[in-house]
Amino acid sequence: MTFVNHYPKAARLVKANFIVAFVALAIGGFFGLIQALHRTDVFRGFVSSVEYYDVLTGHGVLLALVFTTFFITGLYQWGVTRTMEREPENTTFSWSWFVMMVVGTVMTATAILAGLVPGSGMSAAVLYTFYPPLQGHPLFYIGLALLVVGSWMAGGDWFWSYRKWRANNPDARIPLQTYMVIFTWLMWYICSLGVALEVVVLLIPWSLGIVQKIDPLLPRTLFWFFGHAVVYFWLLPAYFVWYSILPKLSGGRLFSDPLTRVVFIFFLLLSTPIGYHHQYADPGISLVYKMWALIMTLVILLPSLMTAFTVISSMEHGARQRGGSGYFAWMGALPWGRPAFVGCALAGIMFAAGGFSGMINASLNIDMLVHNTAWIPGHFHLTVGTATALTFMAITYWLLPQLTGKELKFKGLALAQPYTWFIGMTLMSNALHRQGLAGVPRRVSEPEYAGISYDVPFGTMAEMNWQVAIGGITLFVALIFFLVVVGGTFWAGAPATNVDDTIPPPLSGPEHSPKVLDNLKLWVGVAVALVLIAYSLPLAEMVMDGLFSPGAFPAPV
Amino acid sequence: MSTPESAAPGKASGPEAPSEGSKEISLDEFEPYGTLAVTGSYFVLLLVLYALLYFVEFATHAPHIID
Ligand code: HEM
Ligand SMILES: [Cu+2]
Repeated sequence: MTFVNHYPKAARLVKANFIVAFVALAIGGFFGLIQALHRTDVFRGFVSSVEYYDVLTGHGVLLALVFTTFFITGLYQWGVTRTMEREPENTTFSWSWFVMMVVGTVMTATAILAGLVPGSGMSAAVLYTFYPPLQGHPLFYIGLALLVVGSWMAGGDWFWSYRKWRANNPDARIPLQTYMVIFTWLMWYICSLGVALEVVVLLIPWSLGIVQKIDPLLPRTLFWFFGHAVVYFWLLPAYFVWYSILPKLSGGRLFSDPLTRVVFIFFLLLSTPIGYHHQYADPGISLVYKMWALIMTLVILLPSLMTAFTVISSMEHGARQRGGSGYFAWMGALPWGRPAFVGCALAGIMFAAGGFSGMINASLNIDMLVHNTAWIPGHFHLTVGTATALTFMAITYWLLPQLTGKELKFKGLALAQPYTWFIGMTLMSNALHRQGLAGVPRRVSEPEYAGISYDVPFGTMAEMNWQVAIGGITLFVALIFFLVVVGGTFWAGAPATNVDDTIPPPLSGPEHSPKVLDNLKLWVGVAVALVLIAYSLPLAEMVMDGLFSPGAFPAPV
Repeated sequence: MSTPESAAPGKASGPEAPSEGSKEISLDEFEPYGTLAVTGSYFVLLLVLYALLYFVEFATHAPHIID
């Protein structure tokens, strides 16, 4: 008896979300392979150098927006159901948010992929940041809006369950997994308001031709109002896995429940007000706000370090229970033969490396060295591309038997997969970082220019290109491994007899921590106040001269 | 069986994970000095890499007011 037996309705919903996520991952990953080969001039036969931008848009949207969102809604549905111990309140409502997200995704994907079909008259090569004056087909924006609204409804579904649970448990502490879900979604409601306003009020009317011109700065600012918090929207679900499941996979228990709550509060409060650190190079934003963003970004290092401490100590607890000892030798006692553990642990190591390049990005002055270079995709393939993506793939190995009642198929492949991904990403990411230092731009299909040779600080250009290409191929192979394991389990997994699905209580539980940690109204209030401080003046200034002016005409697409 | 992980500590089925025939370590017995070693080393590495990037890459390549 496991999740699928206790909660068959929820299990079906979770599986549906996962399937959409994995389809997006498969297509987006294939596009990644094309990019890695094309940029480096290893192979330019898949698409033309103009179509490259349709592919790149597809890669960014399908992976960073679609794969993540669907996996997260599936994962969180699982977490809410098992800790609230209730099926979704109303099946029709649950499926309606899922269908809305799917319809939105299909619309957006159609607009993007049509760009690869000659004569379709439709395209949306605006990249996943869709900055105007780049303009895409209206379907692109409308689909994205539906995806976001669907995700809001998913959150509503979980709050509904939470309220029902609260009515039966007036004095209980919020169970940790639901707590993490609630705080992620509170942050999501606040930040996605920015992108929703951008898309609905500015971009959709403009792409439909109702207005002719667009102010480039206001939509960008609204985008980044959302854009830093969205990285935590990708990351907090990985933290959800690292805090609540990884300790158990390591053979131990979560070190501290209260510390976990404090970390999630920090992210709710600080994620949105620091969006300006993505606009360091934008004229039109005062240096004062850029400095504020810099300082707040350093403050947000604190919950990240607390996370490192809590997660590593929980793993150490597991290792010591398994007989490990020493300052560093205990790591050898961790279960390096279990796919789910290995994926999460390697994802965590890559995330630590991403922490370094992130600190460079956050530094207002040094950022100018790497701004818009290959360093940036080098950085975020460590964070969203591995810390998040590899954690999601790894935890799928542990969740699938609970969701399907079947044994994981191809366990050897499943174990090889995270190691393969890790090797591929080490190759690709280090080379992208170094190319960035040499000045190689990102988002360029042919980054070689007549008469310009890059000043390469470490290594050679040819060697770095080969690392990107071989790394990309290796990553794609790892992705195939993953899809084979998942597909094999779905279609040919043997019935599972004894599914491993329990999570032991934390070493230090919530009972002695102050109740104020669970005071949702208070923390939302503080978060909104911080957002108002950070954004009201600059946004007011941008709006005052008229929503669509100073205007620019659409750039030729 | 799914167990709410934090609703009622003690009531839960107990830490079953360390099944590999090993000991159980309580909060009081647990001294995470391995974690301190790992996070400490990481912190030092961060500082070294940051200094390297700042002085070697940034300071030598950035445009200077003087020249
Ligand atoms: C098969 C594995 C992957 C490969 C080979 C790959 C390769 C690449 C390359 C070479 C670029 C840079 C393109 C350019 O700037 O011209 C890129 C961009 C990007 N990748 Fe990946 N990637 C992979 C997986 C992922 C994953 C799992 C995610 C996120 C979940 C992701 C998210 C992104 C994003 C957001 C961009 C930026 C797109 C843009 O600049 O608009 N990638 N990828
Ligand atoms: Cu950011």
